[in-house]
Amino acid sequence: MTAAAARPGDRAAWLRRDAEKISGSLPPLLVEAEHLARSLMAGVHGRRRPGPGETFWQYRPAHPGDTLAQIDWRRSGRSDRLFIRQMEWEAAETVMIWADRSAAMEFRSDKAPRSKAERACLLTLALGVLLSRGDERFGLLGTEAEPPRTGQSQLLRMASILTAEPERRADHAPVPQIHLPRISRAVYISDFLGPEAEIFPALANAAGRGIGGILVQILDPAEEDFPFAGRTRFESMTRAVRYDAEQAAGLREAYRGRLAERRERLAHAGRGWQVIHHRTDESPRRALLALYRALGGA
Amino acid sequence: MLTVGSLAFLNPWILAGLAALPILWWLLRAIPPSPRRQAFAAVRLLLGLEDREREAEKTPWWLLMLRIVAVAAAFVGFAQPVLNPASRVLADRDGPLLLVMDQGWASAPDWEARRAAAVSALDEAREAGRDVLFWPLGEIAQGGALPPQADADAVRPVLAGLEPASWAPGRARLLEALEAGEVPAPGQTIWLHDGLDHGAAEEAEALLSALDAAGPLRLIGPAAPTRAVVPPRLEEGRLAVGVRRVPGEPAAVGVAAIAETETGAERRIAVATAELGAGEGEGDALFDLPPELLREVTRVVLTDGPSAAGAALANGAIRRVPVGVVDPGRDAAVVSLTSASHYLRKALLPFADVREGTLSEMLAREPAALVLADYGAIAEGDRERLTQWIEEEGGLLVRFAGPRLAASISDSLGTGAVVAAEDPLLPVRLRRGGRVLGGALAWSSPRRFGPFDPDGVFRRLAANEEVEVRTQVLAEPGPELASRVWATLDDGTPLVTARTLGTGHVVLFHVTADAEWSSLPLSGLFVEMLGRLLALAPGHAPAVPEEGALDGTLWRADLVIGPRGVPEAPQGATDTVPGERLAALTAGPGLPPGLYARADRGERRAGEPAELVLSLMRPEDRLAALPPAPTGAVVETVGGTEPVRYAAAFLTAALVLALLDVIGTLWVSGRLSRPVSGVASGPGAAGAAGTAAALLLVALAAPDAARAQAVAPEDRTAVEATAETTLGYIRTGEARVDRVSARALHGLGFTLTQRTAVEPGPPVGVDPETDELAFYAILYWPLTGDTVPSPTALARLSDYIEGGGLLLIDTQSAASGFGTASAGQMRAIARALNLPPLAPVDQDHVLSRAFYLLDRFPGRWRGGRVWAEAARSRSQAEEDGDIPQFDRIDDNVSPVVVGSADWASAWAMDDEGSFMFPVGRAGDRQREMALRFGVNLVLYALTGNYKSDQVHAPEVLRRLGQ
Repeated sequence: MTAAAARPGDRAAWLRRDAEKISGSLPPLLVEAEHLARSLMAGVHGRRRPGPGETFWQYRPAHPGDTLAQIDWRRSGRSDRLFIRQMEWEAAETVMIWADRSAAMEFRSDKAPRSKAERACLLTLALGVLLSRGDERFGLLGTEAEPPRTGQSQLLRMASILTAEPERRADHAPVPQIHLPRISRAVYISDFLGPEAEIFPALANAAGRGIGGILVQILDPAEEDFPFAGRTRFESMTRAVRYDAEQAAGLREAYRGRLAERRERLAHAGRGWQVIHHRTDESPRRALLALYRALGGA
Repeated sequence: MLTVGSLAFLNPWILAGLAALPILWWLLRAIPPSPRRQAFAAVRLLLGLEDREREAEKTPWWLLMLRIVAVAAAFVGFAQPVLNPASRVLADRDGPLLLVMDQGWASAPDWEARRAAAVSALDEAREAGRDVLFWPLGEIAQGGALPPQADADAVRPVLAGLEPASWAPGRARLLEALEAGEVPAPGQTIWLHDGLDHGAAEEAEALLSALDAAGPLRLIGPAAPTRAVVPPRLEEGRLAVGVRRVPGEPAAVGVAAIAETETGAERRIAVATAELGAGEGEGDALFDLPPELLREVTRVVLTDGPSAAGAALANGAIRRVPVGVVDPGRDAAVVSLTSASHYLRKALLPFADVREGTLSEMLAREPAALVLADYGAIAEGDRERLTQWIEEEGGLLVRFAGPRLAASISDSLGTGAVVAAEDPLLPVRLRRGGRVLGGALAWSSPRRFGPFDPDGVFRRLAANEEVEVRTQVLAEPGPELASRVWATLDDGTPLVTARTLGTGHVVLFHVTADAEWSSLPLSGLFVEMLGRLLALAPGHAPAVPEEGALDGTLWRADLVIGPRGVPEAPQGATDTVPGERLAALTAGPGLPPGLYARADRGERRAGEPAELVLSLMRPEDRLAALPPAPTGAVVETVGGTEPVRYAAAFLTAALVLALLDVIGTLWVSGRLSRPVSGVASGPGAAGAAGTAAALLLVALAAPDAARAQAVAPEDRTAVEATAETTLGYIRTGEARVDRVSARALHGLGFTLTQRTAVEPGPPVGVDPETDELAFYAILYWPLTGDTVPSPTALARLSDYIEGGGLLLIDTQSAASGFGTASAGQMRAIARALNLPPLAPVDQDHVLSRAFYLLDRFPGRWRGGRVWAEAARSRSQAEEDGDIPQFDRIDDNVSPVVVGSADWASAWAMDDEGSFMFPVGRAGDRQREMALRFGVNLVLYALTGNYKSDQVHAPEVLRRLGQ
């Protein structure tokens, strides 16, 4: 191959093939994400709430406590009452997203169309598309795309990171912390099945910084239903952890109890952080809609 | 050996292993099947969970059972169970096993069972570790050497090659050896006998006692009684086959008559049954066959239990009989189609060899039957011989009435007497004068046939309504008349009378044998009646030749009855047998039963038969049972209680169960039914099962696949190339040139299909060095570049040309083939190909008119010359311009056509049907000419000089005009 690559024509061919390889997987994910996002925007519009911005939103009667400077005198002059002119909230928010891409996220059972990681990437990108439309700034925690930006370039950057083959990974990734200032929201997408001792303190820590956040727990149907039976040796994705069950079916109730317990803890982990549960056999749109609403879209 | 009822174990100690089964059970229960591996991301949630049903998952009971049964089957199998084990005498006594086996004809019906019994005996000997003295009775002649004492396995091939003989077993040598003490003391003696004494009861008895004295004796006799048939004979016009057997239970023995059809194939034409009562040793099977079929029977065989004695040739006794016809009214000079002899000859031919002549001539030939048509007074000498012939040799004399007979009666009566004296050569006394029925002056009308006697000779013949009797001679009524009448008219007048004279018959038809007195000779009834009568005639070959009649003659077997009762060509075709040996008429080694013909050219003496049938059983022979077994001998029957060995079955079962266990285990651990989910699924589990299954499939399918591949590549090419006319091109190795060649031949093929009857298949590229060239009528060879093919390739191409192929060499260089850069290469090739002298193709070459009339042969280029084989050198006469030349063009197709016009580019057509390259400035017309050249070339290659006549057409027309 090296001998063949010496020829100029062959080199061109290689270049082209690599370029196709690079661009090949990027658009499908992005396109899918945009498609998903577009389907959502048809139903949900703008911010539709007063706030800092430049576009007129509404006049409202002045209440006690409003400053004089806020009163719109021109409007107030046309009647006996005082009105305040409000603008549509257009201030850009900064949303940090964490898509867990640890080995555990690669799990996919027979019933699931996609692995958890794939679904997480899709949701992340779709959310990015939505945020990009709203000119919000967003960044991908724990990656090169962490500095929050907006626009297509940030989307492409994120897409290339998400589609790149990750290096050797552990079963579970540590929950990242947000160190950047002026971050308004955080979205953590993971299965949150790691060791409790690692997850919950980190979550509490992140929430303690006064940032609003959303936890999206993506689970495989098998992880929720536990459809196993018989003598089974359960192994984690890296085979680091294993558990021998004599009769897996007998463990089902206990396992579901554990899972419910984990969810319960998750609900309280982030002190008011919202938790969205998503199964990989469900439509991603549902999760995205919930995510978008939770982000304060409507 | 351990025996439980009729089941024995040869290695019983292995059964002790069965005791270990409970331990195995316990062990298997204790070790559960290995777990299924399941990748699972949420495994941390499981950590610390208590597995409450820890004891529940065990190896399922059916799997346990399967394993236990498999192991048990293996144990039992290795213990070698035998059902009906043979007697264990061998184990108790020293000495070899003496295995004696009757090898005569009576062993043939159940030969395979006998062989199996012998094999079983060999098995016993091997198990007991004894040698075997195998003595087939039939192989060893009197005074011959003893069979070797050998290992049981050494005897097996001898046994496997042994076949029953067509004669009686030879027991004398064994008796002799036993009595002389030549046989070592056997540990056990087994005699597979055929249950017959073969006419030597004393010898058989002596042999039995001698065997019994030698050691423990086991007698294995036939399960079913042996039967035999004796040569068939004729009895009252029926075919009678004597059946012989050892007297016993009542039985019905089926006998089939087999005839040869016109095509030479054998066919079973009838089956009859001989009913044998209790204690009867003989009986007859009677075949009531139409005479013409009766004469076709070649042999009779027993329907079951075929053996050499169960078949008898019918030759001689019942085959076509010689019949003499004497017609005094016959004029040898005139062929008359209304004479009595003509009618008689026609009617007798289906059944008999008919000879004609005077009475004394006929008598000299010793016919089986004589037909006298209206014979008057018989001369005294002839009368004597005739009477003797009838009485002693059983001759059949059939006489017809007529004017001469009537006149002779009148003469013998004189004037006074009304009734003639008794004439031994007439069945009844006849009245003077006959009666005339019908006619112009008579009141009565012609009479017709009355019904035939249902038990008589003419039984079941239909009385033909159309036969009219106008004139007849009348029998004198008398007390004996009624018993001598065989056929009557409808008014009861005797028409056919007969009487027995000694062993023969005299039959008189009271009408003429021609159509004068009656229309009987014109009817089919006449033929049928004569056929029935001829069935009464004796056979022509004497069953037993006279004493000394065969001395000094040589005989050779024409047809031999095989051990299975099937006639076959004799093995040693040239072996001749002296007549003295044959005269004893006893079959034996070297003298199989069958049909023997004279092998020497010596003078035939009177009374000496031309062929002899040697039968195993003669009519006087009877079958007798072997004398009763000595006390103490074990008596068994063949196939009765053969030891059945179960070891193989048990071991196979164990293997199958083990296989089932593998499948079951895989299934239980979930590796068979469902694929393991999870990305990081264990590569071992499902993979191993899948691989095993795949390997098994491959192993099963491999032979087929291998075979399928073995037939494939070259043969397929050959089939494809020869199924249709295929245009070939020589691959140059240059991809572009080869592609153009292929497309060119595709385009040419398309044109040919459109315009001519030639519809070539897809073109084929060949490598002259390796591929078979002979399939292609024409090969296109683009000669580009400077390379000269290898000597091998050139040699093969040379062969191709010599074999009649046509090579189109195209230098594709737009220049004449011999004057350019490639000239040297061209010359080298021409030398290697051994090309004939070439000349430019001119106007009267066939190539210019094989299909189209062409004057140029352009391809992509124009103007180049095309070369083909030069016309042969002409003789002086041919050189002469005044002599019309008809053979100016060589008859042969030129083996090579050389050009440079790049036809390939002009012909090349892509898949869409458009031409691939532009052609010249003339465009379509030039391409059309190129295609026409291609068409001409292919037709030239396929049809040769067929069109060369065209060249002479003007000359022919000119000469016709003159």
